Amino acid sequence: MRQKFSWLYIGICLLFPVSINYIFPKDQVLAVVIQYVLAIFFFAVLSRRQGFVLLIAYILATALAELVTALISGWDADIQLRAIFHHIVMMFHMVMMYVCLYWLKGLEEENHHLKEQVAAFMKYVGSSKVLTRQEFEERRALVNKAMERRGEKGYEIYFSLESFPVSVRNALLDQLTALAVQTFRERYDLVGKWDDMTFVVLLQNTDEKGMRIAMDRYFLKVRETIRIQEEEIVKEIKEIGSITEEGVSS
Amino acid sequence: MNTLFIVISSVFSIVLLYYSVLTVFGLYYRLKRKKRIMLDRYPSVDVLIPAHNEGKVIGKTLEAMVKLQYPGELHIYVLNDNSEDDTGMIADAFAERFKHVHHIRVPQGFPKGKSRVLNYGLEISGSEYFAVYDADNQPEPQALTLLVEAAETTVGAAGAVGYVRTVNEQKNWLTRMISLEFQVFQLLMQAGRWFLFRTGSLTGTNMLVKRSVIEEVGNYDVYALAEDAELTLRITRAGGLLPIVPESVTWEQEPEKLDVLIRQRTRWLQGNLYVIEKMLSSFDYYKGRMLVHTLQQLLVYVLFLMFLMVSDCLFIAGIFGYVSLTIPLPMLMIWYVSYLIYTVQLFSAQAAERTFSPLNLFIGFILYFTYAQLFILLFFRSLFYYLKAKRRNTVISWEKTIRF
Repeated sequence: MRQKFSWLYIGICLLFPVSINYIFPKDQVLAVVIQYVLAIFFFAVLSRRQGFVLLIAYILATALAELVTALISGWDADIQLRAIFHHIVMMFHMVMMYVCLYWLKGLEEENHHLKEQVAAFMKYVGSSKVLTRQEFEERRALVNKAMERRGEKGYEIYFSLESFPVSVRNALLDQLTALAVQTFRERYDLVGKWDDMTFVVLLQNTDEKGMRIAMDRYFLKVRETIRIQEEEIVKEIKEIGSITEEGVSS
Repeated sequence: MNTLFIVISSVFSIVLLYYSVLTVFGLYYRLKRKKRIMLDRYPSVDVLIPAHNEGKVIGKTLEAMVKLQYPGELHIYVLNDNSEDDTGMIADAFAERFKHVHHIRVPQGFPKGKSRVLNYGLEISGSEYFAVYDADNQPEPQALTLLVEAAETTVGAAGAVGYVRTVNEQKNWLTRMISLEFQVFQLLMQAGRWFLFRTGSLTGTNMLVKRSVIEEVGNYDVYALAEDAELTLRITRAGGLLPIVPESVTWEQEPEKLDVLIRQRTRWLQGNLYVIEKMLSSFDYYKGRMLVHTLQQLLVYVLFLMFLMVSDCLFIAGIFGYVSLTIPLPMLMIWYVSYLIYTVQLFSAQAAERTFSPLNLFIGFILYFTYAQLFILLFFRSLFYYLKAKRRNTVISWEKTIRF
């Protein structure tokens, strides 16, 4: 990117003297240089958005000014063609200057920002706080080890929506996982999407009673907006942490 | 003859100036960072979704609807207008599970079309605001909230209007062209008119209206095919403002085939002809803010069409040597400035929406010679059917847009 930017910059630096010496007539050179200087000044002090509005305003205003002059002076085809060519060259210069000063810089910033976003989204499903299966598995391994070391136990609960009609399954999965993120403890518990019809919740450092309380609270929240019975969701509950025996399931 | 050409050119230059100003201010408004004002209380809203044989798209639409993050009371009504496909089944499945989704079977009635269905929706619902979304729309989670915030915080607002983007933009060249058209004419120009004249136009989808306003101005006109444009005029006449909210985005499916586009746009244009006919019937349409809407309709559907046709005819006749203009007018310059303004609008919109790509740039360059010229065909097709229906004293049938 930086290399392309440098080439572009060199190109513009070369184009300017060529335009001044060979394209624009002598009596217009001063006006062109003044426009250049003003553009550099304004682009330097204005934000990227303001600079863009100014660029568009400049292109349209100069074109309309040419049109009015042509109407008043009754330009013939030759003069019109020359004026159009000069306008295109000037427009090209201004656009390139804008690109150099703002756009590539903006693209670099945006690229950096997008990279960060992609990295974040690789952990979560879309823009939600629901973990992807891979991220969930990685975090689960860490949590599991920590719980074993501290002698704690926890639960992994798989919620399957296989009994629901396909037409609403996606919408339900989105809503149920969003509600799970809101309900369970953000710092301790994990919510992940397992597959197209299953999501999983990991409850850290809790016993069976705590797990039931958390589940009741969750389903209470769910029933506020969704008509659903707890029994309709196929659940598989696994004990994790320092308890090694096979977990419960329903 | 010369005087006529000079007058036409002068009028055209003024129109070009008007659209240039709209472009610059529209761009400024679109790019301006606006401070979001949260409300202490969010009023109740009913979302109305007219649906007739929308089985292909309604599932995705409802998935997006249940994801709407609205802090107040919200009800979503699927207004099923006698669908014969699986629209009803899908709507039932959602209504069965989501407490705020309702599947309403609209009784048979006449004339057919969106207006009658929306009027039925207004009868069976009762919130402070109602929002309309087409059955192929997927609003972003914050879309409705942003509309309500704008409507509640703008003094004199009768509602608010969001922005419609094309979900299938990348499908083919046609969908890219439609998307570009929407970016410019639906958003940039709308934003410019709102910024300069405080006028906004309802767009038929992703729009919000206060129920008290519709009670004051009357329900949807069941004979209007462009029901949004018609309602806009009545709201504006009553002094209501419709702020434009570019940040409130819905994603809509656009026609992927030319014949589908032609049928859809014929309906829209017939609706606009109906509105123009109304405009020519009363001087009320030429006062205050109404003048901005009237000007918009007349410029696009009368003046621009005329200019486009004259320009094309002169160009073709000139090529074959039938016409040789000797008038002292800078025709080349007029053509260049027109093309430049049109293309600059397209590129500005692409920059504002960050939809720049080599292909989109290329399409921006050729849009005037291709898609824009289609307008002539569409206008005369619409005019033919409109006049035919008038002569036979029949109601123009509602041509439903085919989904993909």
